[in-house]
Amino acid sequence: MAPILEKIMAGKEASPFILVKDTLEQSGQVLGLELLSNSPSDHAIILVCAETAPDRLLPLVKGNQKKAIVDCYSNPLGWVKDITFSTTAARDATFENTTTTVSLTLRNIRKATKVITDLITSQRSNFTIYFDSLSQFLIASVPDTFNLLRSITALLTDTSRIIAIHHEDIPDADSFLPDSSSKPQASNSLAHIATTLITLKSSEALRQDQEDFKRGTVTAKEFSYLTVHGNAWDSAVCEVEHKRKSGKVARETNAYHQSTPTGNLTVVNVWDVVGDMPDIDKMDLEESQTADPAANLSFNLNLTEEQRKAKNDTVLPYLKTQESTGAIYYEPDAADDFDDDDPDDDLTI
Amino acid sequence: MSSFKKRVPSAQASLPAGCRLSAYNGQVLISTGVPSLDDILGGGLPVGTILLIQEDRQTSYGQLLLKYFLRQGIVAGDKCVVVSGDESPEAIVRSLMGIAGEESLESQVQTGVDNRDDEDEERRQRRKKAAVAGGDDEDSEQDRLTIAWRYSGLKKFESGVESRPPAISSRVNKTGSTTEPAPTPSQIPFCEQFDLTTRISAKALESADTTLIDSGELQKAVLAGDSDLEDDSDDDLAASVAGRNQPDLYRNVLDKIRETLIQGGFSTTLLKDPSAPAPAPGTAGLAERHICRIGINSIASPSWRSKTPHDLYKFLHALRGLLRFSFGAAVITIPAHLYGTIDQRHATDGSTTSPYIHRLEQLCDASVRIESFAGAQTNASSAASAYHGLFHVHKVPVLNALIPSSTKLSVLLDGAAKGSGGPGQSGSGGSSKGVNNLGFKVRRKRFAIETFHLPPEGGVGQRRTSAEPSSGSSSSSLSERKKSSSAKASANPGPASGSFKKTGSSEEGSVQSRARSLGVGNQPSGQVDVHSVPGASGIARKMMGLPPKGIQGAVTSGCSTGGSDAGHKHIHGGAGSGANSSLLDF
Repeated sequence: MAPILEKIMAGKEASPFILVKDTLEQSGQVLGLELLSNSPSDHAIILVCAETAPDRLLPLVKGNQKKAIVDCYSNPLGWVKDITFSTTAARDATFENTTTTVSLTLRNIRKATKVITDLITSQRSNFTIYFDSLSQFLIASVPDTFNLLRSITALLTDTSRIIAIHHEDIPDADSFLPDSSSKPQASNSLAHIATTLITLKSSEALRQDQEDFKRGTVTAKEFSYLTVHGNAWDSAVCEVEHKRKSGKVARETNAYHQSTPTGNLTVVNVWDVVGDMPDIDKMDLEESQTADPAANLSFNLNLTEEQRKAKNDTVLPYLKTQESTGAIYYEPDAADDFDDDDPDDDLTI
Repeated sequence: MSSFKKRVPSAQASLPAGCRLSAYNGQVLISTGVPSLDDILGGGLPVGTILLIQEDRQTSYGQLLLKYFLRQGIVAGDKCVVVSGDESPEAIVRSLMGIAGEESLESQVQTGVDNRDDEDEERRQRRKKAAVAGGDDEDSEQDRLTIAWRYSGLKKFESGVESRPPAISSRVNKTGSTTEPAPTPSQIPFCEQFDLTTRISAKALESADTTLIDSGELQKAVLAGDSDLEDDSDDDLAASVAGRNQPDLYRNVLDKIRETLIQGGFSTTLLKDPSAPAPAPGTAGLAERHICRIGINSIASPSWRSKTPHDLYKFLHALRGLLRFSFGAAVITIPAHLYGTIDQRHATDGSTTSPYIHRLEQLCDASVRIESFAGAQTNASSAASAYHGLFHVHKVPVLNALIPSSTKLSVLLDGAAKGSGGPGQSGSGGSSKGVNNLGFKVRRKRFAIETFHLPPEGGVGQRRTSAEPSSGSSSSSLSERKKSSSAKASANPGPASGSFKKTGSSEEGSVQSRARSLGVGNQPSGQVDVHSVPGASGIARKMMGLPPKGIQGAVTSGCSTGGSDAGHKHIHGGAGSGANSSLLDF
């Protein structure tokens, strides 16, 4: 049974909205780009760059699909008016496909929604849209980001996908308002509409936790955002929660490993990356079937026909009391003597 | 000459269709479509109340309950108002379930068809097979008890609520005749049985009286008022100015609902035509009345946008006021797992209620929460369970009373005390209100809420040959069971020691070591004496009334003295102690 992460990457499991939740400890960009690279060749790829510069992101995307860039990186707050963009990538001779670029400010996400949906419909094909970070959108306005994602999901076809990276530790627009408890939390709400939720964890951190657990001690962790072992360059652990079309939810913990020379990502068993983890079930669990309890005994619990007949013929005690209620049936013993006299007769009081 | 007049029965039978009166306080109740949920609410949802369903993560059981509610309304001919933002209301109505037994016209319908679900099917198959194989097998399978015949008179322990078989007459279309007299109100069953595998028939959909309100559309209309698509630079100012003058989404939805209630004549205080003479008060008019069922799907989800949290409070308050004086009821689902403070972020399975949700619960009359195992982050052990999730009841409707009617009437909420208590127990049972853990399961054909039993430790097939080292944790999980104290010891024949489980015992550690030594030391002959005297006390009967799944083995007591102490259950301590330590607290 292949790990579910592998199936999702290969596209065997249809998942219209993949949300990758990462933290400072473990970045999700590697996984996100890998997911993007596995999209089919007839898809139009739309890269929404909010965190990385478009000309930096573009070479990282493998594949020859048609690409369009929505540039929210260069001018997010609209400080520079009327700037015309010509991407360096388009000038680059190695790129045969023309890449259309649209630049947006994040001040007004409703307008951005319209621009992006227009871009998608103009592509006129199946598409894969990649958000390299939703945090910039969420900082501007949470409900508008929702509407943006909702509008895109409305345009999704059978194989089109949304791949979005969400930074869990960056607060959104609502978090510090006094009435934040009355607003739905952004990361939960995103998880609510996502069909696949991948939470990334650093393998080194998990390994250290496991060792602490075995030793029975808890090492005092210094308060820090970045640790030495954060963001291992070649492997990470992913907790995947996938909602199938049938409604069933599959939850698994996988890990991935990126091999050095080729740069190919392979999905491996989490035990290989981290070591012994008793909390996480090993992939090939034997199924616990309720076996017939009478199967492997050294004595025979079954009855033959004669035995069954004999069993049914046994006279059960209290048979008569079953049929009638109340009357006391007394069958005298051999040792009983029946004396009708009142034993109190010979009392001389 | 008697001056008493005989009460004419016809004066009573004039309730609106699909309603009944509560046995406890005479309120008019309507069915939610799920018999076990009706039972929890005390017979049904009272007219004029709001039921809030807190949804589960990742799965859509909350919406399923909403669909049951709407479908039952369509069966009864009630008006159904569907409000939804996440999904289009048309999609919800089209995906409603069909009635069990009402197959499509081509397929045959057997008379008296049993529409019970899979488990009952299996049981009937087995019984049929047994009957065929030989009549001798019947005794072991049959309900008639030959050995433990004294128990046959005991009331069967109710772990769930069975729904009544569907009304056969007007529902089944055998010949496909399209013209049939409309069923009179008395013919419509209070709670119809539905089949989740079928969809609502086209005929029923046409004849259904539905009003669909798409809050997504309303939201766009509200937002379109702010002309900020073009304006980029100072849109903040423009939006705030525009926003103050716009009615918000919740207000719009409420206005539409009010309009529907007035137009349909459901409200008793807000009349469609104030100038028309008021209809003569009397029960005669009631029979023609219908109920207005309002179903709101995923209120306050991320796509519902409100400027302040007070909008929703006002909405619920106003809705409750509207409904109290109308023939209507509302079921609202809310994705409560999305709410919580920053600290509660990690406990998003709903176990810690956010203050916002808590406040919303106060505004509604009844509140339940669904927690599915599929959506919960932990809880791996319940994968083996037959249930699909837990069902928490936070609040039941109490109208004009101090105690909800479900304390007296509900089987599920109070089952422990009512089901099998002897005469001495009933007093304490009613007040202690043995709160059952409820779980729900969704079978092919129905949604059922039952008392939640944990499956036996390790599964049925596992053979126990050594004491469990982690029995301590299993004992604590068993404390979730019903409060009746019970001692369950499973001892295998032979020198193996058994593991001892007890709920609520404070001396678990010592008990286990004693049990182990009991197994090893105290039974040289490997003989196990079973002392159980049925009918000795109500307590014994209460113990035996427990669900059969949980009982692993007979209660055993090995007597070191060899004497028979009939009527007592006890377990002797280790070899050293001579005193009988009775570990069962009664």
